[in-house]
Amino acid sequence: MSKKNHLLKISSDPGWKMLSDVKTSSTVNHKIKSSIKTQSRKMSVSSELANYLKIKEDNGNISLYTHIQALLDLFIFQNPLRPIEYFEYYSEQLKQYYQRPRRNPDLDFLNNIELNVCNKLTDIYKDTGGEKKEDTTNNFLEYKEELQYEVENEYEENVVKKTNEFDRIVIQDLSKINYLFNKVGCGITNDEAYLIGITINQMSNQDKFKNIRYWGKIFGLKHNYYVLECELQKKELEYKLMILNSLLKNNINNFMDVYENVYEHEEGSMMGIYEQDEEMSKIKLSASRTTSNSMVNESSFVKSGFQDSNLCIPSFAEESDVDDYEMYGFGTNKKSYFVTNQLFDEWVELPLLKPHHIIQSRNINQYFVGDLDAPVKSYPLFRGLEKHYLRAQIARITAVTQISPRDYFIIDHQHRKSNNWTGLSSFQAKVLSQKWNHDYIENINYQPLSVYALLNPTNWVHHTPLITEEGVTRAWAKLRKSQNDYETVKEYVNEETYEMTASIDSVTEVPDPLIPLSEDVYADKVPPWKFETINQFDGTATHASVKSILWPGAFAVACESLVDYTYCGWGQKWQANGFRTPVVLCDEFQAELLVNPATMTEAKDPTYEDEQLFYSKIQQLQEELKKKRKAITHLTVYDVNEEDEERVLTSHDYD
Amino acid sequence: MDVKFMHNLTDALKVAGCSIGEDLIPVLYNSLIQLQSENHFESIYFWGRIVTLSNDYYIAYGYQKDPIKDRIFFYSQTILEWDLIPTDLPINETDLVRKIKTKFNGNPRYVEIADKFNKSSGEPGVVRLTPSVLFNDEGAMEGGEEEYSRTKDSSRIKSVHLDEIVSSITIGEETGESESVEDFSANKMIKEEDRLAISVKMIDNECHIAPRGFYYKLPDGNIVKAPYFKGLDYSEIGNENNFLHISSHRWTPGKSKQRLDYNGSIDFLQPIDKDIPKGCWTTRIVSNRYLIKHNLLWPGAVFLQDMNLGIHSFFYNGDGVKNLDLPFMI
Repeated sequence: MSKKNHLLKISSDPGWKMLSDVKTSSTVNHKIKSSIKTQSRKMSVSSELANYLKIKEDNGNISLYTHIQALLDLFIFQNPLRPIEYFEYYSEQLKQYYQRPRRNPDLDFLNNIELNVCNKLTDIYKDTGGEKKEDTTNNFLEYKEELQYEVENEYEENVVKKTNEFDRIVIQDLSKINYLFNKVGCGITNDEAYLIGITINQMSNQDKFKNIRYWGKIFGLKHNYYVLECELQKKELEYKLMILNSLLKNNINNFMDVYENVYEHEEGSMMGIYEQDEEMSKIKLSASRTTSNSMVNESSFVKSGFQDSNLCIPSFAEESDVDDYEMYGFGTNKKSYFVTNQLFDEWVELPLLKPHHIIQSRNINQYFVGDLDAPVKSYPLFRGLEKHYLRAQIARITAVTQISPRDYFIIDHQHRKSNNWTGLSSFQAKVLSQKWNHDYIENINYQPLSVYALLNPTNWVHHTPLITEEGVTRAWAKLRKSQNDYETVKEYVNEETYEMTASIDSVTEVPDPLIPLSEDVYADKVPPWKFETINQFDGTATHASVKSILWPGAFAVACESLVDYTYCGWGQKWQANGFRTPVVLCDEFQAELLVNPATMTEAKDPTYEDEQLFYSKIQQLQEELKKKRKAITHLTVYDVNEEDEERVLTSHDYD
Repeated sequence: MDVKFMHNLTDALKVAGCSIGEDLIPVLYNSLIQLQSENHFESIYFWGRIVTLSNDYYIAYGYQKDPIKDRIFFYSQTILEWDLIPTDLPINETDLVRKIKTKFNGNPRYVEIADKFNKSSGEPGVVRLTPSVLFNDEGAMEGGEEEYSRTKDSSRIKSVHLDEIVSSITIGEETGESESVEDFSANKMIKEEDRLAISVKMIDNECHIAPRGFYYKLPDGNIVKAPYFKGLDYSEIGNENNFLHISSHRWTPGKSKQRLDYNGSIDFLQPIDKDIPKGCWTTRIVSNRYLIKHNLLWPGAVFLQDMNLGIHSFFYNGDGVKNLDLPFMI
């Protein structure tokens, strides 16, 4: 009893008193009065109680005392509704409030950041660290062996061996060139450059590529693309084409088996080619919507481009040009492109470029989303997924904006005839023998031009072949033409003369010359290039840079003998007069209808006689039906059990 | 971009694809601080760059008291000497700027002739004016450009309030009555300096955004920067309500009360969620660290925030031309 009194005594606040007054509960009042009477005892007991309350605490840090205090504060200052009725509720709320974790601004950083990204990145760094260790141990062992010989001689021999190697891997020194790019304003951060450098090193260790460089960055609405540009080694290219040939020789029905074998063999690097073939057949499937056509499509597709042209069976007339794309390792498909959204993710090889993708991408003006498998929602239609669109844009940008100072690259006449291609079809070998057309190598005798000379457009040249209206390089167009001539000749003339024509036909074409920039067309009175000096404030270290105005984001830098180019933008061409939707191309939509002419012919309306005939027939049928039904009812045997069941049911219902 | 943070945000600019040459940054840093001290500014900001065919324009602004209304803009081509951007602009010039789609030439005295791009507009040579607009010849002879003074004489009309310049043409503004101004050819010419001023103002009015809570309105109506604002956190950046336009031209404060956690002292600016067309802002976090918001309507306008440090900034690095093709592109 005394405890209760004191409990009330502690809360001798005016608010509580008022509350008790309002209630006018006689017992409560009595207790208060009695507590006042026992004033003398009050101090000692209340302090005792207070101590008790302060000590009393369950799991948390909140003592009973502070809880009651907080509760009373709530009643007094916030004046909530019906304090006694909802007493437990308010208490509960307070307890929940204690439970809420305190915000720790220091931990915000760790809680919000994506930890798995950091983990993946450290894994990447760990991997490279491991390799380095192995290397050093190997070197150490070698060094031990070498101790027996004269070190200098050995060293010289090594150097000779390295230079004698036919396919030397050329790797871009990204950290060095990124320094220059940053001065121009198209560079990437050090983090990115470092990660890309690691990737390039890993790829070069695979011994598949002749040339690897960072191509640039393309922004998308949701994610960005980083692009690497790689050129395959000769043996690797040959191997790929051979696999394709063997694949074609086997029946198409065995396609999946071969595909799987290849997949095991190549560990995914070949995936690009097959995937895109499959996809295209899928797209065609959905377009034609007939299963019967699908096999034809597939076969024609797998064959296309890798075999002689007369083997291609174009399923639709309009798509005959679709199949005719440039061979792997030639022209616009000379290099393969690897892209990724995140630098720690896998790099995906883009599919081969097809001419119709180039043509269609010229008509549209569309931002990338950042997902390779996303459909391209555009008008006019783009046949393909975002990866095809990306590939087409990369090819267009590459063709126009890869420039170098005059004489920096020269066409590789040296290896012109040294190549022997084994296991390839005649056309493939022929194409690859023409490959030197686009093979440029660094000029060893290049003498760096002065900065002021480099500000002149005549001193810069395009070294990548331009793409024609048909979406192919000129060299390929010529090759195809000669090949077609040769086929037609083959049809009409007998074997002996055909050999003659073939020998005459041997392509005597001039390679795409390195065209100087001064010959480029102006876009609506605007020069297509902008020449600038970087590092203006330090006269001794001034370099020249070239910006493309047609493709905002494309840059080239030249500093002494260091020359490079990159792209960093949205992948869209600048159009002087804005984007104009081209005139509606009826062919696209007509073609769908022309496939099945039956859908297009108009049906005749039925005449009166036809209708009468129809109704009479229906009447006849109905009569026949009635007769049949009668027959059936006659045949059915009366079943006692059924009736019983019925009765049971009805009785049940009425109950 | 606050000059104080210029060095910290270079990486963010790189991942946003808006970086300017790295060797310019130390020069800009020093020359802008000098500009600040000469003009007694409270702080100085590097606004961005307008890429031209020859020499780019670098734009900076500073303010003395009010961080939004009192901003004074400067431009420079050498980045060492800064010139005031003209503020006294006739209405018909803003109309012209809306029609020009060409790139900047790079010479502030270059005169763009509007003839070639005026074809599409219905009545060539007729400039619509509101009846209330009066001719104002007083400011015509200022500056040393005698060759253009005649142009200005005839076309110098009451200047527009710069904060109201928007790139989109509002139909309500124009009344049915249209007067033809005497000298047609003069009205189709615009000096690049003026065009620059108008373009910069348009971009600023439409794209310059700040995170909610950065600007604080005091009870006496003064606007100040919140001193302990640490940037938006990860839970807030997904919501476009939390990004506010700095210019308050179209803003009716009544609408803001739709917000649940409305706070009169920070919700006095217009959020960007009602911007037209929908989807003109893209948001992403790059490198696990930088928040990048691109404006697609004005390619090159970007809002950056370093999530680790809480530093944020607006920046523009583009050719100063609006992307009218946007509806086709997204």
